[in-house]
Amino acid sequence: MRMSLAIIERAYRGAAEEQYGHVIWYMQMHRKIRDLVDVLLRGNAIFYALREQKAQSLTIGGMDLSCLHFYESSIRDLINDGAEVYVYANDMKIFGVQSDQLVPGVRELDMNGVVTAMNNHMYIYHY
Amino acid sequence: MAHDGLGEEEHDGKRRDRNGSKEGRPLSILCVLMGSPYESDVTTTLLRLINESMRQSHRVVVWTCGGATTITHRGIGQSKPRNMLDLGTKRETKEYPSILAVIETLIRTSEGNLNWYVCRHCMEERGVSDQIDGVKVKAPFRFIHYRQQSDVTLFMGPK
Repeated sequence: MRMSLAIIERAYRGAAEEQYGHVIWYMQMHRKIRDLVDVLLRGNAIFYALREQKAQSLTIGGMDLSCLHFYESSIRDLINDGAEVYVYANDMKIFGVQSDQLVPGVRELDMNGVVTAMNNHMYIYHY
Repeated sequence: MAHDGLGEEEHDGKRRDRNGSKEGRPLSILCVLMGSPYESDVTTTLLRLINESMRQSHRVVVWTCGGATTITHRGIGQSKPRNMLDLGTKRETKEYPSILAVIETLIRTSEGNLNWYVCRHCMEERGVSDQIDGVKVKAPFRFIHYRQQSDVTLFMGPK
């Protein structure tokens, strides 16, 4: 039995407000305080797990915002820290995302796999 | 089916008045920002729109309503909280500007072409009456006046 599973569906929120403090960063912080959370990405959030994403930055009024969300590196850091990162396979099909577009180590789950994953975790978060 | 004045006609980016003639003057743009920050990328989109509008010498009025009145609350401060993942790295002393600092910078560098207004009702409802100096607090629905004065009005976000 693993500890926590965070199901993340609402994506791309608060780039200027949050900067580094996005939901995947939040998952890394959970793991730092020993809440060993795994992640399941659904809906638009499946794009967080793509490889070869472009790091974004903004300049607003001459002020550089260079630490905006860069989900690929955070997903890689999660995996390197021992987290399981899953992507909902049905949504991959809907959005036309292929398996070889995912960060290495990200696992695809169909609905049966999602149910199994939920049963294998003590706590479920939904974002 | 092509409609009169639309369809295949190439748009040159210049505003047309009601008689259809071209004008090259800067536009007056009203952006009504509603809804809470952090819930979507609407706030980020607004800031990018304002930034580009300033670059093109347009005049922008921002009216904040609902949860959007919180982003100019003085209590936010100039910096975000420390990023705890930076501890023990070369970024340990790095500071990240708050959304408040970004907005203050935009207002300061706008050379008077950006006016930022805050709905009094929504502000008081959310207990964020301590607003920064660069914005003005206005009575509710005063935005109707600014809508009448603007060439373009954008409503952004849910109430």
